[in-house]
Amino acid sequence: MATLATQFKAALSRIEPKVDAENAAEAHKLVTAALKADDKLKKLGISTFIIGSYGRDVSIKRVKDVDVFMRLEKATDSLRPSEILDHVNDVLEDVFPGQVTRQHRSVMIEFPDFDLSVDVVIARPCVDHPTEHWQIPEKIEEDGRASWIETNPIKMSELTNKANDDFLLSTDGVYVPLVKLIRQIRRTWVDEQPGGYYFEVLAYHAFQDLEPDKNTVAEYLCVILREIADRLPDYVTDGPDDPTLDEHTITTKATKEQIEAAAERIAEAAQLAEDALEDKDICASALKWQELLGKTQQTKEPEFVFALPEACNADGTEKPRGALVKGAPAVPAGRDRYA
Amino acid sequence: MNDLDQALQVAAEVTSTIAAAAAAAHPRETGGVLLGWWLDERIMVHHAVEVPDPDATQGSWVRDYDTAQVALQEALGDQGHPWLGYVGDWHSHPANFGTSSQDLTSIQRAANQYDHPLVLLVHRTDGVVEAVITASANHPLIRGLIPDSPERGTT
Repeated sequence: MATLATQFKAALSRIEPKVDAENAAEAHKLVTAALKADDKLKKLGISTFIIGSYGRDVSIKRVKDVDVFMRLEKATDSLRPSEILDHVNDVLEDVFPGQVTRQHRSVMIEFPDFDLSVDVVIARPCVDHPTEHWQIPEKIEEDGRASWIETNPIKMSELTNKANDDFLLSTDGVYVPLVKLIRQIRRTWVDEQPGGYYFEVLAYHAFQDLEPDKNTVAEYLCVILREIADRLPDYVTDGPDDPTLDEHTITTKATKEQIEAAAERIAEAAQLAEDALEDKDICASALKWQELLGKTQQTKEPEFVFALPEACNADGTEKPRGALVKGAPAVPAGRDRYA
Repeated sequence: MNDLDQALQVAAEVTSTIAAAAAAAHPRETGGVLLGWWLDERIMVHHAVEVPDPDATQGSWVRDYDTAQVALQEALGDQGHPWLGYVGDWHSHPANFGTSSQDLTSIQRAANQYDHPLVLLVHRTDGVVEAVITASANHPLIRGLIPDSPERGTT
């Protein structure tokens, strides 16, 4: 069984958005400072929280946007989204002239030096469950009124942390690294939709339902990927349950055809992972893992996420050994005592 | 280049792994297997794996086939290097004494099962790592200190 722990460790490092994370933290700090300095937002009880994959530490290279959840804790149901969006837009435009775009339910600030943007998502306490979760504008009408949609992104951060504490590889959390690998596989194998969050939720359910306890990243990846592949065809009509809101399901822009296509592709990917794990030839196995994880995306110079061992050729064969003799496949028979 | 250099190359990771395991097990002995390959009669050691002996004492560590073979196979799967395999043993001495006659007897007995010489590394509490290369058709038994030990020499 080729578990290739050393190569998986390097692969995870290769998709880690190190520089982006530093830039994202700085951009978030600048935006939050600008928002919190405004008197009107102070009166509305502004409190910010980083959400999205970057906020949950499950983002992979590259991070192109950072979502800031701007909670207005003292806002009432009379709050007009159109008005508050205009106000936030003006506040940010003063501080970041020419970098701000008012969007559907958020305000985006671009940071060209960092090649990323920050999305400020405005939220008010949920009218029906004000102590439990939040509402964000779903659709703003011409008169400035809006329909609101319930959301609870902070809960997802809490669930992510707990899952990473619950599922371990040796003594380290394995849930977060696995979500990163699943996100990378989605980028490699699925056309655009469903998106990364959809697959993150599928991975979350797979962990909760299977409660896997494995010894290597490779084994975890195989069981989680297989579970996702088996479950995806069930979600052609309705998405998976939303782990943050009772009786809600995850919505996606994906069409029925896109879900079906994704299910087929992920089934292929799951089979490839299982073949890679079972392959006793290390170079052949490594080539399969490399195909599964693909290349880094949105980077200047895409590189394979999973590097082949130095003794392997690019086609998955072994380099000529010449006078080299492989180490023995077995330890000495019996017992030897050292003193 | 002395006899030991010609017969052995040890990756830095190997000695650091052994030192960490020795410190964790102190004052009992611990040990394990060495992974690498042979190249032109030279033993190339790339990786050290600890093989716990539940009955290890301050003066003894035993390599048991079943336990060691499982550890070897897991390490080979994890390392992902097609040339790696068993090339010898290592163990720690929780005092500043080096290779014992029992050590020499055990590694030579083990080497009789292979076509190529084996290496034994012995970690002392002063950080020195002694090396023994078993006798082969091309050379007699070789002993010395591996390069990053505080002192070195060959006999």
